Amino acid sequence: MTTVLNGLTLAAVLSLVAIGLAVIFGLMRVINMAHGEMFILGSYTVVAAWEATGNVWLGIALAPFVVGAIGWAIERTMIRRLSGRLLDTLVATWGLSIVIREGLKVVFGAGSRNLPFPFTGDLTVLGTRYPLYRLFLIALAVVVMATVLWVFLRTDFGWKVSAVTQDREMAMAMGIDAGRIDAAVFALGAGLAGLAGAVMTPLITLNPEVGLFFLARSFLVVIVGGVGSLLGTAAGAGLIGMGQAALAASFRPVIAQIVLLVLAIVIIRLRPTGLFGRLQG
Amino acid sequence: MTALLEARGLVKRFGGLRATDGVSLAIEPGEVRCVIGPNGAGKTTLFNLLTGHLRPDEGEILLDGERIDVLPLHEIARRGLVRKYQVPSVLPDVSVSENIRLAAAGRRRLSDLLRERADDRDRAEATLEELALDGLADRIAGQLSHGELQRLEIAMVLAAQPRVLLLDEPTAGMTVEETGRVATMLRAIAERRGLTLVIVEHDIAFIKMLGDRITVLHEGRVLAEGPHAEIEADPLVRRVYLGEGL
Amino acid sequence: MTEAVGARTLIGRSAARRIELVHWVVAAAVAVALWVVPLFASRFVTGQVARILVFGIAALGLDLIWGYTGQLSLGHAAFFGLGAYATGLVLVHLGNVPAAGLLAIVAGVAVPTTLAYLMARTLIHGNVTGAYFAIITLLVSLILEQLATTLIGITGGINGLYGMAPIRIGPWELWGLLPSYYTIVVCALVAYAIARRLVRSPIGRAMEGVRTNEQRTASLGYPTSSVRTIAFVVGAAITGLAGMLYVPLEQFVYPTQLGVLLSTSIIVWVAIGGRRSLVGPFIGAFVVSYGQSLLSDRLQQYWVLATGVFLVVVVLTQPRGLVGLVSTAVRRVRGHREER
Repeated sequence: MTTVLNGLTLAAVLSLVAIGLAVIFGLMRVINMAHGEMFILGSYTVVAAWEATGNVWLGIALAPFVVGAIGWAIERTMIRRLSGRLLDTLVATWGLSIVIREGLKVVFGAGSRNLPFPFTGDLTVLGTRYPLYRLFLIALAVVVMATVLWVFLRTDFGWKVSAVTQDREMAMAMGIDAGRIDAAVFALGAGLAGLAGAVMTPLITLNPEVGLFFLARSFLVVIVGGVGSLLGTAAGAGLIGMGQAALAASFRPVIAQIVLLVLAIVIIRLRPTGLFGRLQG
Repeated sequence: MTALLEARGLVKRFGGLRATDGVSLAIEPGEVRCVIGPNGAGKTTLFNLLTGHLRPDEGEILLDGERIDVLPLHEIARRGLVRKYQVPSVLPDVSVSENIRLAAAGRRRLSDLLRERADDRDRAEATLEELALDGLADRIAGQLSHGELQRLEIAMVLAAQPRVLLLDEPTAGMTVEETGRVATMLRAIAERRGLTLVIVEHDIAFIKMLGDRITVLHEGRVLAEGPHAEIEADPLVRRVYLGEGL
Repeated sequence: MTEAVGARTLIGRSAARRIELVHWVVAAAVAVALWVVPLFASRFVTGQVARILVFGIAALGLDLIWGYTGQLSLGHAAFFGLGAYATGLVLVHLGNVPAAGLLAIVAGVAVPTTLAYLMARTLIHGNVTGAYFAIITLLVSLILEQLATTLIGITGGINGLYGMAPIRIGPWELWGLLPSYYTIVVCALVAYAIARRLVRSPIGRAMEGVRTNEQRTASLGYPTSSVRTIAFVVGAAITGLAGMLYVPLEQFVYPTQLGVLLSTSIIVWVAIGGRRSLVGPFIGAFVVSYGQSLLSDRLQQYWVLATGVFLVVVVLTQPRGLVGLVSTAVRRVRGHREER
């Protein structure tokens, strides 16, 4: 049962991180290699706020907005200038990820740190005692994902995003400002990754290198879940999160990663659009 | 006579639309066949099917009696069916002569490709001259004008030594003079090499100069097929396509 | 008319032959210059030159894949590190076996090449290319780095492999600075020649084709998946060779040789030197390493940060790197002259 709950916690966080990666790729054909750094920027926002005020909640509340703004700036200054050059964007954002990671080392030091939980205590779930904070995290992810789903499926903004995703030129001919949609979605994706990083801060041993591991896992989620499908991302996150937790319970972490990579490669060979992705042209 | 290229009952659906709806064709060796039809008649879809860019939902395609609709793109080209695209398709980053040399070696086995064969190179140079591109040999293809690009791609597909050459609107964007020159040249090359040509064209003058037989497509089906004069006289064709133009 | 054209092409061919000759004369001169470096330079400088050449070879391998074929390999250090570990592991665990030296050298190239071939078979031939392929190479390198750090009993974990038996083949010992240096110079030249042969062959043209117009290339008869595979496997083999050569030079193998940072450095060398140029990777490795050596100790900690900045700036402003910059300048000067 603990394994299941651990898997759920990881799945919850991964879905928050991977959703940005998947939506941005679906919309702009851009893979943001600095997406893992959006995650740790969220964590370091919490660290900065905690060091300044001693309050963990403040950082968690600020993180999505701070990181979202950073994401917006990245889209405006860099991604836009490389439109249509997928591999060059990949390399440039990879460079950017190094800049952010090393920049954080300069500002906060390269060492690892642990932050206190904003609240402690356990709850008994189906006969298993489990930390309350992790349960909070799962619930938060569910609420946020539902909100995101609502935004994409039920609002005017979401309608515009899907119009641009399907046919950029047609959408622009209809008067949609695709550039603004790009920037907004990039900011949203970054903000969600930042939120994930913020709430995960107490659970991880934080150092600037952590982002890479979340990036790698998010890739697995996107490969498995497929791009351009929100439910696919959530399902992919569930599969990878649970898989990771189940494998980590009995094997070394590295074995778990090998198994998951092989699984992802098998899936990508059999279904190039991911398990849950829609087959498109 | 047996057909060199044959299509039997080709069907291709896009969603609810039947872009190709039971097309059968038989093209004999050495024939020059023109395919015409109004926009949306399914000409380009038919070409995409014949050259392996699309897979038919029903029907089959035979080259020299062998089924090719199951083969990957490059295998179809290796069997001698080569295509010129509607929008000129070349390698933009390398020179004109490199483009033609690439084409000339295309049907060699992979293991023969570590060194360029002298005869491939000679053929590339001959084709370069044949299409009067030798003055542009060292120009980067990406810098050429549209008409020059058209000529370059025709040179490439000829250097590839096809048995059947499919040309998708080869004179689009050319001047009247250029069109006439290309038609004369294609006719001459086809006769000299015993080449079989299948051409999609809008330009009626071009078709008159070139085509032995004409296939008229309409809404994904073959509406009529026959020599030029016969097609011209066909009242059905006149009504749906040729209108008052002829 | 025809005669004039014939004459023109003949001149074209002989000019090409002359350029080819000049090229190899220059290459030979560079090789000789490198050969005599140890006679004049200090051990430190000789070691630096050897290291730059090894990095250049590693980058050359990526250039074939990324520059020419347009297929990015984000975790290319996997092949470098695998070459180093294969050699190192043979020397540590099989040092007493007869012909261990030869085995170590062969393993250093064969193991990374085999991995590359397997990856190409499963991915490229299943039409997994582009960004997905790049990301999977990254994941492979991350996993290999972790394996190297966690399988302590075999790989020595984070401390790596050291105290290895030297590479011996008969009376010849490939170990330490000078033997390594000369071997590296020869290998750099050989790798360069192989890459050049490939790039200038019809396969090389097909590699260009795969990058810029895959459909056209396939519809002329080229099996594009096989062309990608050839570029990827040869590129990985060359980078593996570099990893193998690093062992006798440094006498030390460690996990970061497989990892993200080296992968990024290789990308930076190629990007700065110039994609689609065979000297570019060497120039890039030289410029970056020389730049790093100029920094004071206090500034060294910012070096990785600077690497990231370089990458962003080069991709945004000069996608063809230094070699592209120079050749554009040369063309411009020539253009002016011809106009007059």
